[in-house]
Parts: sequence; C-alpha cells; structure tokens
Amino acid sequence: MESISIKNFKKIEELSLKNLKKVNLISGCNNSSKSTLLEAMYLLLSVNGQNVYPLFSQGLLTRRPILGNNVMDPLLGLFHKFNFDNPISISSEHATCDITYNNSVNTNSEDILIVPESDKHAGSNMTQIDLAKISTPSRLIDVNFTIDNISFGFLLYERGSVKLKSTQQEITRAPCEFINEHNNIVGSNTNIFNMTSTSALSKLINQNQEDAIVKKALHLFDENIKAIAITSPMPNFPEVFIQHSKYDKKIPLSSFGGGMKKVLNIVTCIMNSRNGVVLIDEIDNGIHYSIVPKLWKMIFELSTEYNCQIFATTHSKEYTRYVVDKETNWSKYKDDFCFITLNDYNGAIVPSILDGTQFETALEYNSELRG
Amino acid sequence: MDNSTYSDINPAKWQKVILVEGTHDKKFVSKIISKFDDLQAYSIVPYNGIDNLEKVLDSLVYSQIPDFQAHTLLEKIYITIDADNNAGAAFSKILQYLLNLNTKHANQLPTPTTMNTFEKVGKIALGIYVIPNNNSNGCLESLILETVNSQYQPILNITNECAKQVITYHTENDKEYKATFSQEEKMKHRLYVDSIGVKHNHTYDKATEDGFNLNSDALQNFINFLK
Repeated sequence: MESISIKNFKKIEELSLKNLKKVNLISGCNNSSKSTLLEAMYLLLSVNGQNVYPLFSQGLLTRRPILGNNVMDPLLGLFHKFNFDNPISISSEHATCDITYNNSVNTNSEDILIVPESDKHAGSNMTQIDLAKISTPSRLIDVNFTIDNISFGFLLYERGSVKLKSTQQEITRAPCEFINEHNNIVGSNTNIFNMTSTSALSKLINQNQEDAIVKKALHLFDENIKAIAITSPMPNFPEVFIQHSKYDKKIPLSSFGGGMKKVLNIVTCIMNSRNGVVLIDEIDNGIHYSIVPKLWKMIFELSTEYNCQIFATTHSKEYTRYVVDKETNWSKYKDDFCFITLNDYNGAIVPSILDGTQFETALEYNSELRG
Repeated sequence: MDNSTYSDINPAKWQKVILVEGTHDKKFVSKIISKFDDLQAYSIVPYNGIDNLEKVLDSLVYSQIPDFQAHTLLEKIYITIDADNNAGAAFSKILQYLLNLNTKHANQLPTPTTMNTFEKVGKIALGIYVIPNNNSNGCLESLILETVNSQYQPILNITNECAKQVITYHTENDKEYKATFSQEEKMKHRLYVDSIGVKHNHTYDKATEDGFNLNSDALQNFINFLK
C-alpha cells in the first residue's frame, strides 16, 4: 500500500497519505486519530480479502457505542460527526471501501442472510448493547468495495450480523466474520498471548520456524532461552512453554513478562503475514527502552524477509529516536522508512510525512516529532 | 551538537520561526527579542551552518508543516545568515535553497527579492537578513562589536589591536595560516568579552547587559527586522 485516502471515518473528515513505505511509524497527540488510521487500513484491507494482521490494545471498530435519542447506535460511531449522512470512503491505489447508511432496504428480502443466534450473541458482546433496545431492524450499513475493478457489496446490520446484498459476487470474508474474529484477536491487550496468538504461533511451529522465533523474539530478552513449544496440559487448552538453559523444566510463557509476550506477538504476526500488512497500535507499551533498537532491527529485517508492510503507532521518544541507530542498521533500511505525524488543527486531521532522510535531519535537530 | 539547545523545536506549533546559523546567534537573538516581545511566541532554530540550511528547511519546515496556508499557525519566517566575505552571495544561496524546495514541494514559501524585506505568500511572510547590515562583510560578532558601550571603547581599541597582532604573528610564522574576515572578527569579540570579565558561556546573552548597548543605532535595523 503506497497511499491511502480516508473520508468521513470516525474523527477523520478527510485524510490522504502518500509515499508510504515498508515500515511506517505514526505519532501524534492523543485523539489525533492514529488508531483510527490503523482501523481504516484494517477495514479497507480486510474487506478486500488482503492479508492483514492487527495488534490493537483495544477492540477494533467496536469501541464507540453512541447514545442518541436514548438508543444505542453502535455503528454510528464509525461515521464522521456521528452522522449517517456522511458516507465513509476509504481507498488505496489497489482497493476501495465505501460505506453508506441505507435505511430503505427491505430487510425481508431474500437476498438477506439470516445470521445464526451465536453471531448475534457475538455481536451483542462486541458492542455491549442491549439487543432489546434496538429500535428497528432497518439500520443497515451498505458496504461497497472493489478489487481489480470488480465491484462487491454487502450490508452490515447494526447487531454485527451480516446480510449479503448479492450484487455481483459473494465476498470472500463476511464483515461479521472479520469483526468477530478480530474482536477476539485485538480485543485484548497485545501484551497478552491469547488463544489466537497461540494458534498463529502453532502455525509457524508446524512450519519448523521455532528456531527463528526464538532468535528473533525471545533472544531480545534472554539469550538463555533455547526453545519454544506448544503443549496441551489439558485437552483443548494449548499452552506455550519455554525451554531455558538454566532450568531443567519447561516454563510456561505466562510466567514471563508482558513485554516479551508483546514482542512474540509482533514476530508471530509478521512471520504469518508474508506479502501482507501488520498494524501495531501503541508499539511502545510494555517494552523497556534498552530493547527498542533490537526490536527495530528485527522489524526491519523481518519486514524485508517477509515482504510485510508495517504500520505502528507510538507516543514514545525512544521508539522514535532509536529507529536511527547503529544497531538497527539504519543506513540499509533508511529508504524503506516513513514517519507520519498526525496533527489536529481545529478538528481537521492533518498529516506531516517525513522520508528517511528528512526524519534523520529532524532527529539531528531534536525536533519534537510526536505532535 | 548540544542537543539540549534544540529541545524546543516543534514545527507543529510554530507561529514565528527564526532560523539562525548557530547557538550563539540563538542566544543573541533571544536576548534582543526579549527586550521588545514575548519570547514564547518565537521558535528560534539554529541550522548549524549555511550548508545545513536547505536540509533543515526541507525536513523541519516544508515536510513537517503540511498545507501551510490552511493548517498551520505559521505566519512569519525569519532567516539570518552571516555575510562573511560576500553578503550578496550569502543571500543568493538562501534564495536558491528556497527555489529548489519550492520546486520539490507542494507547499510554497515566499522568495524575497532583496535583503531585509519580507515577501508574503498567502498568510506567510519570509525575510532574509544578512548580518551584520545586509551590505558589509562580517558576522554576528561584527554586529555585536558595533554596539560596545562608549565607556568601553578604549578597551575595544586595545583588544582589536591585540587581535590584529596575534593574526600577524600567526601569518608570519605559519605559511599555511590564513584567517578569514569572520575569524578575525570572532577573535576580536572573544578578546573583548574576556577583557571585560564575561564568562564564556555568557558571551552572547548576559554580556549584552554590561559591555554592550542594545539600544545602539547599529542594532536598529536588525531589531526592526525581527519585530
């Protein structure tokens, strides 16, 4: 993805980013739409069936149930100024995703897919709404997007259920599927290695990648770690174990700190995202500054090896400054890096974008890059 | 580079930005501005020599301040530079940088046609002042020495003579030694402030409270430029 344009998505009325690179670090004050930018990217790439992995510290697309006229309208929060009359448009050079509110659709039409009760349940959990309070069944989000000039479309019901509009072709992934699925993945803090993380790790272990994982992720913290494995002490409860040279017993990953789990999450995501995109919200959380140069080195190396594009947000000066470091081999990766600051100017989200050379100069002059 | 000097650089919040050659210029300009305005309204950024000015403008101004006219507080950009041996050449060099960057970026900065005047594009004005007086050869120290208090003039005469003799001595004893005009001016300045007992780290700010007269006519043009 070299560029992205966003209109009417949450706080962003209009935002265009160009010249995006393989590794992109995003900063800005609180409420400057850093996470919203990642959410927009996720929505765009997901509905277009592209390989995208989000690591969010909060739930994705599900955070803002809005109270209006005493009725909770959870999807209203996606629209700029909480107004369904502002159609959402997200596009890159390869794909588009247009979302409009359409209350004129006949919900009894045969082209509407009735969702199972379990999905409704997931939907209610997702948005923390009381289904009984939903006023009408006619609140629908009309989602349209294109891949290679072929138009697709579906309707997203506010309860999180899905209705296929059957425009031209069935979509590859239903929206309720990706929202529910990733609500599990990203709904938790990324410093927690949950079942989804374990499943992703398992995939890599099955590909005999455990040595690479140990070297790339775990040796950043402790070079005495020898191996990583998944076993199930109880049926259906797989758990990650670490083999450490100083102990003769396998140690559960849960015994280690959050920072190590977070880095393991990042490495696992990138290694599972060949030719894809990894979105990391608040990359700095939980990691000591001394690890940061090594982490950047690992991210640069893996993103190149797996041809994986990284978008990460941060508030940290160390995360910003240590991108340029002997240890990260910066001169080699300088042209693959872009730094974006999001600024809120009287409600308008305005980006400033630095390429590697400009970023280096800004750091040299100790410019306040974080907005 | 003394990073602590640059900790206040935040282009997103710039309203009036003064780009100066070095940290000495920053101290001196800060001292002058504080006499007539609230220093908080200004961001004074040392670009560390003329050869770095283009990349500093590119990185800190053009790229970090998106859509100047619509989305920034930016109103006025002051650029100061030492004339050294040729005031016209120094001015032309900055102008060329601005033209290069205007070609490269969508944002456009004004390109003044003469020194000591402000050109405006939209809401943003830009001016260039070539120190000491937009005409003579010299540098910041030349300008400062023109403001010496009258009662200290005899001391200045002595230290100026001393500086000349030191340079003559080096020139006669080292064939490769060649002091530029600006180096000679800096030596005169250093000898003078040493002789009136100012500590080195206060040479460009607190010294002005004693051995120099900030109301001097010699400074009026520069003060008017900064206002």
